[in-house]
Amino acid sequence: MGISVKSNVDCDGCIFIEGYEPGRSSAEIAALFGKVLSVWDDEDPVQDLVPIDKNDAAPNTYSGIFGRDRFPFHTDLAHWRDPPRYLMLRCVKGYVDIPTLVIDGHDLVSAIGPDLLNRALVKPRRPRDGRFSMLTLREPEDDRPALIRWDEVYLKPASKLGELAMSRMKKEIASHRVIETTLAEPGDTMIIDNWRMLHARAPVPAGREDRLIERTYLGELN
Amino acid sequence: MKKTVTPGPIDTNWNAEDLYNKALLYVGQTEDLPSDKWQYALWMSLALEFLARAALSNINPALLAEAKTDQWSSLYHALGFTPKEQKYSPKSIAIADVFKRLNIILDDFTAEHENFGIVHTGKRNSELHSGDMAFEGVNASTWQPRFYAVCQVLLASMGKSLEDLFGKEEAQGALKMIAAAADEGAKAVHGDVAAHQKVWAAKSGAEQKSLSESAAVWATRQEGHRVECPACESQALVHGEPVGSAKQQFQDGEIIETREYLPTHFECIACGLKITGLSRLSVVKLGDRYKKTQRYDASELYVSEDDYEGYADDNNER
Repeated sequence: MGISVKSNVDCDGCIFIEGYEPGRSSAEIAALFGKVLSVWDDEDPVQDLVPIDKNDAAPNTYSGIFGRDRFPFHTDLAHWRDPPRYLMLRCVKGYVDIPTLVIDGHDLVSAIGPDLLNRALVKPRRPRDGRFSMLTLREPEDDRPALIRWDEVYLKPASKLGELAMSRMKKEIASHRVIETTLAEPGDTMIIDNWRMLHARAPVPAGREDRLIERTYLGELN
Repeated sequence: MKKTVTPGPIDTNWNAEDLYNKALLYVGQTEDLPSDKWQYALWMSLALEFLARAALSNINPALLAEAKTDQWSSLYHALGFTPKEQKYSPKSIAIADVFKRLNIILDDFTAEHENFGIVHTGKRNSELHSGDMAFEGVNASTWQPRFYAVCQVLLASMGKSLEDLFGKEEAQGALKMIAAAADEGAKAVHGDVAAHQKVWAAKSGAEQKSLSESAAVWATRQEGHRVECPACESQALVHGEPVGSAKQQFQDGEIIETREYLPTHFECIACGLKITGLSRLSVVKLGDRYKKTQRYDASELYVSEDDYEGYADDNNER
């Protein structure tokens, strides 16, 4: 393809490619774009995202909490020490009125200040492997871009600065400019820098229960 | 190897990031405390311990684990494996050993930093394990400049800055305190040198000559790096601790081993001036690294004995 996915994602934080090779599987396309991650050892690296009613979903999942309402902005697996770097969303069955919403985390960092976010301690709401591990909302590193993590459900403040930063983040997100992208046609593909961009799903109106988006995590892009 | 054993992720006990985040948490506890309160000093001393452990773990988590010949489960665990010992509980080395190791491993973590770390965390132990109110009434200005200087070196070893741990405003204040302490130290050293110069000048020419000559003989015979005394200009000695690894060079059948040293103390036996600590030595330009060179005969070190000396090279085709 004529465009460089990596340079576009590096620059804008995400890329949307319309109707890209609809006949090929997500696994094939993901492998074409980068290094596919299997974040859960025993599961297929390609996961189906379908709307589920609140009562039909596990209570600890977004669907179990929000059902078909709008999902809050988040970065995927923010409560993990090393969240996956990129995610690829690929439409199998989509609708124009269910956009994927994105906010640029760089703008949030500029608005709140890296100093506060770098020192804001948070912890997963549940122990992982029997332990609580503290994390910071932003992790600057010398040899890689800073990681921004955000999940107002799965992360809880672990210090006063954590409380302050989480409330500032909520306020900023609520008033921030949102980028809407619609995965409507088969093959519509979106790649998101999960260390930079926050994303959310729009509400799913009645009659749209067969929406199917495939998600694949990528460790790096070619 | 055809088969390698892959360790798992490093457990939170030993993980540098988890240890650093704990330091961050403890620093956060001081947000609303005035710096002259004992609680402030206590939280900061706890933060220092975790920062030091994070810095050591950042080099390698296994350096934190207690390892004895028959008790190596903690080491195994720190390497990323799951110990199979029953009722296993992770054991790490004492904080004093953490500072000692950092002094040996990190070039910029000097003996002064090590000493401060041991003394400050020692006070913390008194506070926590005895009836002594170790931090009560202790003026922050007596420990904060050195505390921040130690933190600065530890943070830098992890690619971080004072700002990352203490926030922008506190970091700015910390940098000023470090600079001011260096100025204070400089004034004190200059005062010592001036006092010795005065006493030296009061001696007769003959006495000065005799003392200088004795000092020259002493400096030649004793171990150390020879320098000129800043007070009396006699030959004196600087002692130091090695930094980095020794560099070996092969030259004319000899191995020349060079090692750099960072000065830790100075002594002049002619006028009696003594200066301790790199920061104070730097003030009078005695803080430069110096090299020590040793020569070995290469054959002593590397050439193995040949059981078939005098025969042609081994050749299994003949």
